[in-house]
Amino acid sequence: MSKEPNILNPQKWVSEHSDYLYNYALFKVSNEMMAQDLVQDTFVAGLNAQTSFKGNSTERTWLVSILKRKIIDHYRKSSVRKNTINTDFSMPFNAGGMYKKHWSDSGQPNKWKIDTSNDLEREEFQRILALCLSYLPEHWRDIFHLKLIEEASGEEICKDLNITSSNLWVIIHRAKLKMRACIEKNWLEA
Amino acid sequence: MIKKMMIRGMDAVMLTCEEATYLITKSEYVKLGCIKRMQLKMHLMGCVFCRRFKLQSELINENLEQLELLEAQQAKQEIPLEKKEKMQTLVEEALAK
Repeated sequence: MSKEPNILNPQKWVSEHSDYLYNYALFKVSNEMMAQDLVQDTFVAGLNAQTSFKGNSTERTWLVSILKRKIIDHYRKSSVRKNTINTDFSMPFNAGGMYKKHWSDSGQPNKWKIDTSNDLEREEFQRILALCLSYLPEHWRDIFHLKLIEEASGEEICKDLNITSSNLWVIIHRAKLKMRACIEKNWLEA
Repeated sequence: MIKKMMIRGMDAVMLTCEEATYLITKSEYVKLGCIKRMQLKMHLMGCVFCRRFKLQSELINENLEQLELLEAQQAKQEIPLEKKEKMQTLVEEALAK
């Protein structure tokens, strides 16, 4: 392997990286037009920031990091309209009685018989995971996804999405409960 | 009377499952405080359902990450040709400046 620093070749960005970036963006924003615009914005920003490329990462990695920034900007803009906690979700805990706020009979997690070292089972599990992710309210999904972008810190996300940090945890908690129940239901029925 | 106070005292220390699952989720991203960590540990010792929740939550996180990488790598979707041409023109123009 040569130690030569990586160089930028903007002429070939569209042909070599646009589809890769597009799929990355598509998974995050689930809207084709929006994802295409984000890719275009990334190229424009990249052209303007060429001098900041130090050559110690690959061209693609560098472009992806710009795209991530663009995605966060996109969330920030769109979150202003929808920064409420969706209450349209019944918790899997008892609402009252002696075992108030403990697992309800119907909400209790069952044991999952999943062997993720088995490729087929893991693939099936991930298929159900993707399905359940798509069932989450849009705003929750944003947070779930954002959390995965470069392990962004909690504060950063709160700032980006314009929510308080306790709201952030409440949303992630509910999203996780909902995902879990959804997977269990679909896995057992499969 | 004393019994009642003891129960109330226990209630203050013991987490409900709702609180425990909240802390489990939060602990996947940030370090919990000392007291909360102890409370959670105690709760998990006695609660099989929350132990299950914890394992399942970890499994979900792991696979979500893999799924994300997979989706990006497979590059199933392609940007329409005309949009690509437009982008190329944009890049060329910017370079010519």
